[in-house]
Amino acid sequence: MGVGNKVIVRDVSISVGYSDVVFILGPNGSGKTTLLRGIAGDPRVKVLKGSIVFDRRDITDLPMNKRVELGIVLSHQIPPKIRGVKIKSLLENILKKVGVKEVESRIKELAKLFNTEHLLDRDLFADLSGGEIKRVELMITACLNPKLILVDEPDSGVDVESIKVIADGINEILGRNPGTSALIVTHSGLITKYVPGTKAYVIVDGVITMEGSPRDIFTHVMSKGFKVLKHGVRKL
Amino acid sequence: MGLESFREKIKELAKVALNKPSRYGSDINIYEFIPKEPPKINLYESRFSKRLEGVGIDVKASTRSATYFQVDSKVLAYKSFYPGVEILPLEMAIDQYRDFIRDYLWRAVPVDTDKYTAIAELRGSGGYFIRIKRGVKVDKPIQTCLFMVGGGLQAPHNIVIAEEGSEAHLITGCTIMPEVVGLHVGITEFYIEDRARVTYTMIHAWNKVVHVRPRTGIYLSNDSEYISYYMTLANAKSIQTFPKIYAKGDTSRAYSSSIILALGDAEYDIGTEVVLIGQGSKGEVVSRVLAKDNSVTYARGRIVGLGEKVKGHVECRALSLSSKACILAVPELESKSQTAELTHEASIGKLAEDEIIYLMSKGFDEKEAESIVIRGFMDVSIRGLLPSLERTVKSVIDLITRMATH
Repeated sequence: MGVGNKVIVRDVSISVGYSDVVFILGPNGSGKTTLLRGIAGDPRVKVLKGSIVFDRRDITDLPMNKRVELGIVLSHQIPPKIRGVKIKSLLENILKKVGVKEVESRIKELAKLFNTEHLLDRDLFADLSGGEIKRVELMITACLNPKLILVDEPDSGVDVESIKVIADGINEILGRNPGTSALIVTHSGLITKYVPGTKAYVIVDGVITMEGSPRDIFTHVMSKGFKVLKHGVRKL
Repeated sequence: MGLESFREKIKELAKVALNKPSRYGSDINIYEFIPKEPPKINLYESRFSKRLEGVGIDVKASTRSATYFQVDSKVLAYKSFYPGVEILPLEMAIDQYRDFIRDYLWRAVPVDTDKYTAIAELRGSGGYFIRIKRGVKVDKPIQTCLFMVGGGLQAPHNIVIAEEGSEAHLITGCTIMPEVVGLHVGITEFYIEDRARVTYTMIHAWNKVVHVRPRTGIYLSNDSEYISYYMTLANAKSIQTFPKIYAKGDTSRAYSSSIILALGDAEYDIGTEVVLIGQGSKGEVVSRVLAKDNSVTYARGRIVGLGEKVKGHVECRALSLSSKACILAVPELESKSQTAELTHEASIGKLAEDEIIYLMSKGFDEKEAESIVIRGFMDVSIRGLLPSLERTVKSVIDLITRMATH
């Protein structure tokens, strides 16, 4: 996968099964965010080789919004501020689009769950703290009833209390619809303490270098760092 | 000086200014346009009524407290349904109120401002006189409609007096039939007395061959308030307007918001000036411009601080939706008071790719995403309007958004 003329993700083969929660750990600039964006269909990310398959369907060339219709939803690390677009009005738009009838009550329910009731009349991501941004972004993601959530750095730039709320939100999305899966990118690995995972990978310089249980991978990374392996993928 | 001599003097001043170009905007040969008697029309006919409804006019006026219709140079109808609201053609008011009318004629807008004010005095006709009597608070909008059907010169002179402690909401719809060539010069003078409050919602939908040169002046007395929303949603050949608000009274307040969709080859030069004179007076000038096609737009906002402890803010924001459109944002501040606090912000940009992609990642296609971002950009704070007018303003902004994304 590449952006512009730069190849960023070079050798990646990962799989996420039904109900799986898969973590991708890696240092800054390793290609984690590009990988998630590529799977989500961000038009800035080009798939140069290989394919992306979802529910046995090749979606490599499918536009981003069509992937959302299939249930693949990206939760951004740093979503853009959009002035004048109120959080509540975006939620209403999305919920109507996905066919929810009780829009008002669903918004109330989500806002309570993500502790965002006081933020609904604010402009989208404007003047919010780091934790508030994450909570609002996850609430919007939850609106879309995803089958696969792609969560980019839910634990960066937030305090411990917010991580718990964020983790609760992710667990809520996963628990709401049976079979829902998550692919979660994390630099620090903190989120793995709060969201039970099924598998983890390490990515370094656009290449998957390790694969194993989240606990083993996290322990390894904490003690030895993101060491690049020269020969193939090391399984822990 | 008697009324006749006063009016003679006004005419003399106008004659001298007949060739005086406007400070801003392209120069128009005013002699190409002559006032025309309108053809006989039935406003209820759908081709007319739909056009009028598009600029917020209730043709039956059932939701209005007073109504005034002018087609080309002719006053078609006027009526007040509300005790305490007087509405008359200006010429009739001049006859009726000979003792005081000169205090309101060409004071807020000097007759020799430029060739357009001059031509309005010398060859214009029609225009309304509205008086909201002392302490009267009107809970339904007063509507005025200036409609061009036959084209030529339409130059009404309007005067609005909000007496002490009164409150009123005006909505003005100005429009023209397609392909009709014309020059619209509307002179409007507001006199808002102590503790009175006026909101003024203007919706313009012109055609691509009409020139528009409104001239507006507002006098604000102590603790009074003026709020205006100007929206233009179909392209004119050119529009130039720069209303001037004199916040003379202590703690008087002015808010002016212009929402502009510039299409085709339109040349727009639109803005507001607020002169803060009274102690503690406040002014805010806001504009939002969406520029498409080959349009050229000047978005101006000027605040002059003269009085003690005055506060003013200018905000000009523009979004370019075409590589050929030209936008100039001109926020200006001038202070002659050490205690004045004046601020401004201006921005011109294009649709942000990361915002569009973000919304696409939430299931919207590209057009839908653009529409959401543009609607957000157009969101100006709507304050002080009656709920019905607030709905009208929002629906016009929605319409502008749809037109911009087409």
